[in-house]
Amino acid sequence: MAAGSIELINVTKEYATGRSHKKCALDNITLTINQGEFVGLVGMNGSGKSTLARLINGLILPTAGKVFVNGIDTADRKSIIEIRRHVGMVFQNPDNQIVSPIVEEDVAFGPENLGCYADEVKERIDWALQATGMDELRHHAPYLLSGGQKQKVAIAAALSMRPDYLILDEPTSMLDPGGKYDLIENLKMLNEKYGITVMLISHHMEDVVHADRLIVLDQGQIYLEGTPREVFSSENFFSAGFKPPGIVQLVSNLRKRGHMIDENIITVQQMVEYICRL
Amino acid sequence: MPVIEVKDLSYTYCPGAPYEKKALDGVTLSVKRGEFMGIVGANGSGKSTLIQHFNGLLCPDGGKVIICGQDTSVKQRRDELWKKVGLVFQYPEQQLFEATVFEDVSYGPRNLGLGPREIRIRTEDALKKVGLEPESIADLPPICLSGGLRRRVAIAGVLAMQPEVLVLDEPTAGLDPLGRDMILNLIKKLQQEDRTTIVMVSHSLRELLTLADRIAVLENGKLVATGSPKEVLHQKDFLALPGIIMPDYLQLIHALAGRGKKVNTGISAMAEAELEIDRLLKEICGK
Amino acid sequence: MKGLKLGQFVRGNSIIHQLDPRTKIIVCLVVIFSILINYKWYVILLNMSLIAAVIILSRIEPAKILRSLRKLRYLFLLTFIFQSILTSGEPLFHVGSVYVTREGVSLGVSTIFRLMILYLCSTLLTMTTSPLKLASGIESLFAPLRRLRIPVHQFSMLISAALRFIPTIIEEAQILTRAQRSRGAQFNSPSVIVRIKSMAAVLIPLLAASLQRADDLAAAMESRCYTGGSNQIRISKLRFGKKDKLALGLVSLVFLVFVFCI
Repeated sequence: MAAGSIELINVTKEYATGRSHKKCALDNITLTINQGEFVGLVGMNGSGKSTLARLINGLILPTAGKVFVNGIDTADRKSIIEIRRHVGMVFQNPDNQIVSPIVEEDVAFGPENLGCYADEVKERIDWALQATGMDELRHHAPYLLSGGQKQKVAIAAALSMRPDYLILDEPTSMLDPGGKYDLIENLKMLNEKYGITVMLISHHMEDVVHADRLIVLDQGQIYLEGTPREVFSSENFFSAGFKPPGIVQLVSNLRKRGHMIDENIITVQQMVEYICRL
Repeated sequence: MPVIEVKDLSYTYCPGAPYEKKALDGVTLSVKRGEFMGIVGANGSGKSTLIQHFNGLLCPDGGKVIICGQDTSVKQRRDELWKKVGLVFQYPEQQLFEATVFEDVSYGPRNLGLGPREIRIRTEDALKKVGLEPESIADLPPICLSGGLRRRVAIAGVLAMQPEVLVLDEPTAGLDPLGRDMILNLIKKLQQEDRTTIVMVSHSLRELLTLADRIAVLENGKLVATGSPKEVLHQKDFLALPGIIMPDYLQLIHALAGRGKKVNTGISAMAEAELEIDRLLKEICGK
Repeated sequence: MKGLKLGQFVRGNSIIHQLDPRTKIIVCLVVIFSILINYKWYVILLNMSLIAAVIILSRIEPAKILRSLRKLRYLFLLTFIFQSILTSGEPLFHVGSVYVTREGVSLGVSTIFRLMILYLCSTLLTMTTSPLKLASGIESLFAPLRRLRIPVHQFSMLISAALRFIPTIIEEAQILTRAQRSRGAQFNSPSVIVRIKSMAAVLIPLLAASLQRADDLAAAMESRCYTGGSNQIRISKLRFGKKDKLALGLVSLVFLVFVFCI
């Protein structure tokens, strides 16, 4: 129960689906996320990803097992505000998480709820908007923004609580490729520059290529875990219906053709550099 | 004769208002019978506006849209177009509203005024086409189904009208990889086996490169390239188009070409990229 | 859709924008009250000049506001016709057995003006006051009701969220309408039953989506430490300053004199 980490210990979550039926969304999961990490979480629909995200900030409680955030048990309802201020959440649908009709006011919502004074609220908004590059749009109405911009507002809104962790539940699935790219770049920057721990849930392998660690969930269990390269090259990954990024497939096919290419290459940039160095 | 013919089409939202926006500007395009036409563009490039002209939801401000030989500027004809051109909107599962899958899928055929026997045949047929078993699913309420299944039911709802042209707006948006493959295979099968004319809008150039016979690229309401996947890649520098991202293997080929390596940038498929890199590596190692 | 956008907040730094939202709400109430109890010409004139002054001071394009009046033209016309033929008095002329009276015409014209005043003052309020400020203004004014166990804060949160979601839901309704039209729904069919059925095809999914939105929004709000908000401190802390006292005093005085004394 170390401070400075998120710990899930033997967590099981069941939902009642009818009178006597129960659906097991998560099945005995044990997982630690350390501060400063960039963790990618992938899995098909119904694999329990969203449940996992919601367990971490205490939106739901485990049926069995414990979830600790910086050493505080999420089942301890008295500390729930303390937990939520440390764990910022961003959800899938960009339209459904913005509370206020003005960007700036929406970002202020968190600090206001925390009871910050006006000067501090302003300072936090300025920082959060600048960190997400939304400064110029601070006076806009959210419905006039693109999907990608709305998601950045949602990130800024979470950042204004000065969280240690940012949990993003499929934030890119409703965005176009441009918006998706910007969002991922922004998350990488927040992780590197401000040391914010990121847990990114996604279906798209390109989104999580840069993660420090990749976790694959399948039917409520941790199916694979490791660096992106380890996961992408695993046979089990392929057989679960996932496809690694094109570059990984390309490298693997070229190796089959007898080229001794470095197995660790998983991005376009790495491949270009590799070939140009030859 | 083309099924869809668009001639110099222009469309403006809120004309006269301060926030007036030219959504389409002089677009000329045609789709042949049985063809798979892909339309690609960033958000706000006019893709959705364009396809809503195909089944008469929008009336051209300038230029002409001719569907199956008929000009759509006549209102009565526009109102009948939904029978010929089936339009599957983005996130179509959100339109399901009836109590059972059967009733929802048969909504279109019922509006066509068909007899009960014909309605049943068409509904069951459409469900089979999207890979669902009518016996096991027809009586379920749509709300019980998973997101991917509901999307297939919604597509079946359009197929049940047996349209001559099927237009789909981002049919794979928001689905997981399994759901995505399922929908793409289904669309391809509809074109190849049923000879349905397909128009599919997507931001994913990768999806369209492997599926479409021809691709049209929209940018700020203008048609900037059109042709076979290879022709389009040749005509347009996608690296400079921010809203559309090239598949990574093509990014690699283009980046290598940019660094002075001799690679053929006129390819579109992953296997071709593999051959190119294979050749390049052999060349380098041979020296 | 256009109409609703017209009542939307226009950012600015004019004296009207700077006033405390409570001042603006109270003045609005005074204006509404005055034209409801008194429809003499000089009250209308006074209100119109006040509105004109506010428009000038707020530096919002007058054409923008006046254009929005156009969509009320049928309402104005109907009101005028009914008032002029249903009011008894000195007949001006008649068509068959329908008599148009002088009092009716006069009442019709003044009613149109009163409707315009009602519309303009509420539009100006929402155009010059940011929604969150408006919500905190309402919350603060209704705060005494808390003693009666009326959930004032929740109510103002509700207004704020509604303002946020109206454009989104309208857009969704448009998309659903088009989607169902593509499946043959007929919204302008001569048969009422067909029309109702077509409406249901839009309303049912719209309602379902709105419930989903509500659910998502609740999770998002909770994640941002919202607890029902009694201890919440607002960023836009209201400050009732000299300007407000002056504005409120002046307006109340003039109105009192006009409405009751003359």
